[in-house]
Amino acid sequence: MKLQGKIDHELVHLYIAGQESGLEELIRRHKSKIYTSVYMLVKDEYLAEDIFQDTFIKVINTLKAGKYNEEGKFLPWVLRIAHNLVIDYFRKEKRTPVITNGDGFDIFDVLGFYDESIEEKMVRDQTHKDLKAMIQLLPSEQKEVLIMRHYGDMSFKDIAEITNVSINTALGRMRYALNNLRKMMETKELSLKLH
Amino acid sequence: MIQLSTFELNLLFLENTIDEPSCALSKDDNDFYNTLKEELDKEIRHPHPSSIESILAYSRSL
Repeated sequence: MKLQGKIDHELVHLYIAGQESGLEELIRRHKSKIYTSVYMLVKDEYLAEDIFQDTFIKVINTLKAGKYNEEGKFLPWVLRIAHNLVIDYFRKEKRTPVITNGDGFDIFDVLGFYDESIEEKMVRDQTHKDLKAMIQLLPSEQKEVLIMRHYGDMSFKDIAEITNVSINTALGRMRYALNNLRKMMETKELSLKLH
Repeated sequence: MIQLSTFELNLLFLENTIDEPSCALSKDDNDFYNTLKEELDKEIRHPHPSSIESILAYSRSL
């Protein structure tokens, strides 16, 4: 059977048994979800690369030490490790990711564009940038649920476990995130022109 | 020290008056989320190949 046809915990066991290809397939399968989830929180490519690598070093060490006990839930487990590393980073930096814009993008720059010429500027790329900025303005707990849900493709149950809250709270944070994004978009008359 | 504008403070303390939900996202929420998905997907990124090489090299070194 090809590796692509195997489920995560089979790949984990292959890797633990000594087949590096098991790890390679797990990384290939989940790298974008993990990396994007980290990047969206830290907003810095280099830092995201570091945290991505550190995450997998912890994964490897845990698997090699025979301490992995979450069969069938590989991705949520890895995302939990990544999430904890992001929190550690912000703790060390003594700041939170609530309103930081690591790429230097500021919502008020965007607002200026609207005043200048709303029709001309409401093109797809600009819309994307605007939405990105608005996501960064969300309170951190709402932003992380949105990111885990969308980019990590996680269930609310898994998000709740990672963030140490109830499922209802995780779901509520997602609702707040959507409500707040909707309010911001309405306030700034931003509409999504998808096609 | 982080300085917040009135606009940012309003965002941080938006009146989150709805109770914790005990069911799935509402239809309105889902509809809105669906309109966002395509834009959100544009932000999907991939780690640099050298990061993956480093990870695999670390694994092989054990």
